[in-house]
Amino acid sequence: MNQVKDYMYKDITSVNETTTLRRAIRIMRLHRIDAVAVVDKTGKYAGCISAQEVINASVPDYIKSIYNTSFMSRIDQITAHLTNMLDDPITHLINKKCPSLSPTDSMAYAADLLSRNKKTILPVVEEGIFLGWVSKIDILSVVSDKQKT
Amino acid sequence: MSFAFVIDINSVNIVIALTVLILTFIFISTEKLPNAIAAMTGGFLLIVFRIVTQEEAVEFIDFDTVGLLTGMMISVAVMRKSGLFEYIAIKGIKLTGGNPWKILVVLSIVTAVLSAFLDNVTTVLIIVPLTFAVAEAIRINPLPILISEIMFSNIGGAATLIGDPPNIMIGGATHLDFLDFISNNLPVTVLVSIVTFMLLRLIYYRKLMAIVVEKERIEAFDETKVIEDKKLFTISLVVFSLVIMAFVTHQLHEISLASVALGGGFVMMLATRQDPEEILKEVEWPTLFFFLGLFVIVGGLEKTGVIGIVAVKMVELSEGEITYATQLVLWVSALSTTVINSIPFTATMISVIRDMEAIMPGNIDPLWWALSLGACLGGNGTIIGAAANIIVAGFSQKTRYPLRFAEYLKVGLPLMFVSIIIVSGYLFLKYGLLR
Amino acid sequence: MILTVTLNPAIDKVLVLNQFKVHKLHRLKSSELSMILPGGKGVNVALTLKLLGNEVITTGFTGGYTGHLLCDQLRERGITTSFVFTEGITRTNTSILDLKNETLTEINDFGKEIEHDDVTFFLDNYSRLLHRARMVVIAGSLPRGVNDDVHLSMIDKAREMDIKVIVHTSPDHLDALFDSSPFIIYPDMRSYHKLMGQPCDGIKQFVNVGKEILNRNKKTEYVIFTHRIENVVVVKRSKSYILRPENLKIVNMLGYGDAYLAGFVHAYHTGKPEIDILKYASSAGLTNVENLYKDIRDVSLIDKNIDRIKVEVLA
Repeated sequence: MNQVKDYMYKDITSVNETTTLRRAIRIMRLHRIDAVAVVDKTGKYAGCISAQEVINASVPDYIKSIYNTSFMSRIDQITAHLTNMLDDPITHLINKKCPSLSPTDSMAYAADLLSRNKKTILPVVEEGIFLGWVSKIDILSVVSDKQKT
Repeated sequence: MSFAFVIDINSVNIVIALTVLILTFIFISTEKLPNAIAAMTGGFLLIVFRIVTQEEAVEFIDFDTVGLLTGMMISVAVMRKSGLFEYIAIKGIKLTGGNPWKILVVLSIVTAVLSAFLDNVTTVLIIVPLTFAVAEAIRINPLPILISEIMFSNIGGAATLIGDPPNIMIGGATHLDFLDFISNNLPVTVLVSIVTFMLLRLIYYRKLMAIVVEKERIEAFDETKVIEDKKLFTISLVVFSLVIMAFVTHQLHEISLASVALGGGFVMMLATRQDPEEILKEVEWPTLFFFLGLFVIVGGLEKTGVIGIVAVKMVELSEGEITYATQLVLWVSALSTTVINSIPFTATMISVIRDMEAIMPGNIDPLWWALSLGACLGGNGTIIGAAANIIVAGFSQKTRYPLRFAEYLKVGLPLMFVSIIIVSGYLFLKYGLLR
Repeated sequence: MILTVTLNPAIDKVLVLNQFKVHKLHRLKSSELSMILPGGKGVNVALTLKLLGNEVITTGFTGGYTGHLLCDQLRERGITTSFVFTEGITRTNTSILDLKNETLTEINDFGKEIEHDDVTFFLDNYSRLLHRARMVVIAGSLPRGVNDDVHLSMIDKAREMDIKVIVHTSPDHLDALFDSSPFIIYPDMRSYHKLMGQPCDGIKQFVNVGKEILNRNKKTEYVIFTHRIENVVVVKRSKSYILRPENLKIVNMLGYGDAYLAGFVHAYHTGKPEIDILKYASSAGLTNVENLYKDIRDVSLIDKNIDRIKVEVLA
């Protein structure tokens, strides 16, 4: 069985609840990864913050309520909103209910969980300890000629 | 002995039915329960307490109203996909050249016109987000525009049979058709609109015009992009126009409103090849169940005879004079709907007026107009006066410009009184003096 | 889990040439070698520890394409990474081994400047990593922009959680550590022959300076000098050990100290008697210098070489 633990991306750089959004984005950008894990003071995994959620939070509710926003394609409001949020702590952006994988799960289950939740990446957690990530590319590499990494 | 027993049972029933109705009103007005749940549970309780049977409950439901609502919801769901509404609003905004006062006027007119044909809640759900987008782009405070839009959604809704739930219910319950509404309500709503604009100009003109707007910011909006599918746009517009024409020409073909609306909705789906599952998801099922529940509760109340007692009281109060009764219904409706939901109120009042009809001499149509205009415009008094108001206020709470109760009240209540005074004079002239 | 910290890691570009000459264009022949390897002291320790079967997390600062290259290679070998990425790129250290003349030429780049904010975040992240660590190995130099305080903070944070720390760095960073008392102080004497302001070379000076360090660092248990491979000196309060390899055939000194350290940490966690731990560590160092690569490829050789380590105990 192709197990998560054999394919997961073992980078465990994490943030805590009070880290600024600026730092979280910096980690995602420099680590070239779509999400950052949140680990609390006791070292326990507490959720994650993903690029998807950051973007979602930076889109004002009124824009989400517009049925078709194509007329705004030359308007630049969202980045302005994001800029205003940069120095705030990420507290309210943490997805505490983000589905997670266990290292002994199969990669098939990981694939299902990813697509079911429309995620690009999922955290791997064991007994409250954050161990790494599984991304869509990791799933594809199971069947590609690239061997275990 | 047996007579006393019957009375006793009936008074118990009255207490139960009234309790259910009042609790439903309270739960809805305080937003403690979702409307649909409150109304359907209330209706269910009446059946449990054997005040109405299931057969009676089904009879109480006015399917003309429910069918009309459903049909319109389907049409709107298809038309939303076409980008028609955004197109109209953005086009209008660009015509203002970024002048904030003109934007208020244009968006209010668009709101009023859309409300005249669509449900008010649907209208503000379309217009308010666009308002925020525009206000943010030109960096103005959107609150004056929002307040104006709330008022014009209710004013515009009063103009036609399909504009506002009270009108739809009255249309469903009476012989009054689409053209009757146009000829009676449209003139006075136009008058109210003009006066309202004049007063809003006094209140907001300086505040709005204090900001110099960069015109390019408005030019950056591109309304042509929202029409992704020209065919869908054209077909939905044509079918909707046909539906409206069918409403207008009701006297010629006598096809009922619900049939026209439902038929129109499904023909629109057919003509634009929509996936029914997708479109039917857009139908506001909670609203429909809210209506179903209300019809059962009000029907139960009617059966217990309470409605009849109220009707007799109202006739007594107006000394049997239609002119007085009209004013009484107008002011009671306006004042009640500033604080309570106009839908259960109208449902109840329809029963009351029906009972009044039996004991009042002559044509009681003025009472229907008084109810319609009172219930629609009364909603302008407070931020909780109509569903659309609540939606806008709730929406604004998530933004940097939360609309507060007091802020709305300062403008809304006086303007509501002005509009009811105008309507009062209009009804008095039309059905009192000039009769 | 063993946490290794490399504040200034590198990509090691290792060239093994038959003969290296200045002012000459070298085109590599098939008999020669060119390798690109993850480098930096803590990284080397992590690689060997992993090879010996330990679970390892590495942290530090890294950045740019070389940073990603470094982390990818570490993860490919099963090491968990948690480097703080910074804007600059990770340095490349070049080593040229001349087989004919038996010379090693090394050019160590300086690291890019680290921003203060990144140092703060590094310590923040480090605190979270400590929850998973049973021992911390801090090894290597400091990049620009990071001062000695970071070592102190790391040792203090680990102590709060009762985790032992080994520090392996050059003497110029050691003065700041005194009073912080890490478990082991292991000075990297390759470029310096002075420690605590006094000359420090040869068994006698190693022992004397070692005792002095132990006097100032109440909780430190070992001071280790491996610079002179023929006489590895391990100083304790009660006694000192001198470990000598027999029949030493030096091939490549690269990575010697790191292999020693990895050997020590590995043996320490297997619960061997002290003398065996020290012999195993020395054997790891010996095995490393006798192979061409900067790290040990065949760890079974360490056990085979143990008997070649002779121990002398000084009271």
